[in-house]
Amino acid sequence: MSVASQTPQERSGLWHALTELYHVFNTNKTSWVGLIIFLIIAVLALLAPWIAPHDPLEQNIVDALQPPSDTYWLGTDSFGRDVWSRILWGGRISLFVSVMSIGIAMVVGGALGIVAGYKGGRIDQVIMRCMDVLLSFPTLVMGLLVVAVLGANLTNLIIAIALTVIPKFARIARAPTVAVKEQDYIEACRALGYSDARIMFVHILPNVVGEVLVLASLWTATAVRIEAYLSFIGLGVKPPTPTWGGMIRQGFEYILDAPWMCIYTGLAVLILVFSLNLLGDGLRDAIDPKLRNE
Amino acid sequence: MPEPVISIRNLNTAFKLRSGWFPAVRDVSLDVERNETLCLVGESGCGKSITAMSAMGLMRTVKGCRVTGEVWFEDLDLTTLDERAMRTIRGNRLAMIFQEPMTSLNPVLPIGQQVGEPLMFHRGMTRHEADEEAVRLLELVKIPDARRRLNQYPHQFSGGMRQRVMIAMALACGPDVLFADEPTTALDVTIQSQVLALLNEIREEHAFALVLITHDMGVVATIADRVAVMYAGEIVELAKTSDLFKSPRHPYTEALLRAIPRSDQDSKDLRAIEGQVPPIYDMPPACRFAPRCHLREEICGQDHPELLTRRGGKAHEARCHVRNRISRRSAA
Repeated sequence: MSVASQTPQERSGLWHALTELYHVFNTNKTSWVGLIIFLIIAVLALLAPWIAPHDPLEQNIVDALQPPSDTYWLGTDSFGRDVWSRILWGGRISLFVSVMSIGIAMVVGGALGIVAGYKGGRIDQVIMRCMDVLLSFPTLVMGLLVVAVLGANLTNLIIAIALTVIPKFARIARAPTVAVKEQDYIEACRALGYSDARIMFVHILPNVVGEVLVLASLWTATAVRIEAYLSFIGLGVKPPTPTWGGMIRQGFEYILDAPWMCIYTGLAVLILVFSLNLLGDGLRDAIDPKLRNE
Repeated sequence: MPEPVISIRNLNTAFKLRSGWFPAVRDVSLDVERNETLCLVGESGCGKSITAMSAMGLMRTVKGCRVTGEVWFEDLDLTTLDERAMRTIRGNRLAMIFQEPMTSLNPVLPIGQQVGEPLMFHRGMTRHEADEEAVRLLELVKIPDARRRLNQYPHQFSGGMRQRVMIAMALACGPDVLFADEPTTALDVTIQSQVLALLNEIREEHAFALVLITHDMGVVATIADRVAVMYAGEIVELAKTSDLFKSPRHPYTEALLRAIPRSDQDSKDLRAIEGQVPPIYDMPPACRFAPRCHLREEICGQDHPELLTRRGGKAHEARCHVRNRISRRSAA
């Protein structure tokens, strides 16, 4: 890929962003592996309505707790529902909830952290103390609180997870902001007359985004777990809608007689978490321009 | 005398320390004309940078810092403008380059974006227009293969190249005044002269006012039209470069000139100035140079000298009781 041949027209807009991303991934091969696995999981989940061999909600008591076979590739659960089909459909919900909640937390928490770190003083105190308050709630209590106030549904599940994770992003974004704002190039930005908003989100943000993205990829994995946790106690997605967390919980009761329910769903969670961790690790190394080989 | 493009009047910048307010810059008044290079000279901590940063309005948002006085620029007193109005002038009409080129560029943004950004911000150019203009600016500061370099990051540039990039950024909007805060201090000597020559060349071509802050008398001799010598927060001598080097009037300037090492002299003759710059919290009450001065008289410890020009003489001001009295007497 020769940067030399590119003209500024080619650099602009979407093309620019894509070549940047390509560079980022090309520097670190493991991030490619992570990205590809994640994309495969995402595509499979998206295509669930067309590729799932069975209806994920169709109960077939006669075939309950069947081991994996030609008909039921990964076996059936206690209601005779096909585990493979439920993993595909459940992936849609689990991925949606975790990606959405972490996306919201990343944007809101990251922005709060940068503002707190850059402005300092009273604004910093107010924002970070609010974050401390949020952080003091265990995930479960926060989930209960949100659901008690807003009611139990998918949106509120996302809000509950986002609320518990926002402080972590605020903290991870604030620390490098405090260090970066003392740099000469931020002073130079002020001498160029840039507004605070521009300095924060054009000049400081790229210095912070590495840490934030790594945290995001790791927390997306955790969000899958939190979703399972909250769904299990009835604060999230209600049965019979399949989610990975809910399925593991349900399979847990039959782990000695029908281990395939837990094993294969757990494997799905494992692969997703693994791919996200690979992705995050690679991103961290690749996003630092000093480590890029040209 | 032509109209000055920027006129600093009685600028005072004070810092709050535990025991009260202490002036780092005291009563600085300076006129800079279009198409002129004015050098601010003085040793570390004498208030050169603070003067420039105060004029740019960069000190007033600093905690524990108070700026008073006037900075006139195009019929506007910049010290009365609010931050929003000031931002439209900073980087646009008044620009500044800093001492440390290695750390003055954002390491995570490509060079092209950083050079083009002032244009997008102040002139509302699109990304594409700004890129084209950035190429032109990088060529102006003599960066070879400018178009290819747009996509590169600061760590791929050497110190001298980065300082050129900084100059390109500062010049992007065609400023009327450029403050250069020791732009060559961090560079190798050979690169220093290149950068200085470049600054001078661009200044002549674009006819802006250049305020160059330095502690290097060699730099002053090469580039300056006029020189303001600062000591302990005050201007102690203000003169045309040739006059200052030929006949310095303030004993501090004399001492500074004597302290320049020369290759045709034995290094044992290198003459340092005795003593130290007084700390900000313990300034001599009258003449601030008095404790280190070989001309010291009784009055120097009692009365604060004014910055005065020789009567009937050229515009050559000095802040010294002894010298001003002598020149008065000889003029009278």
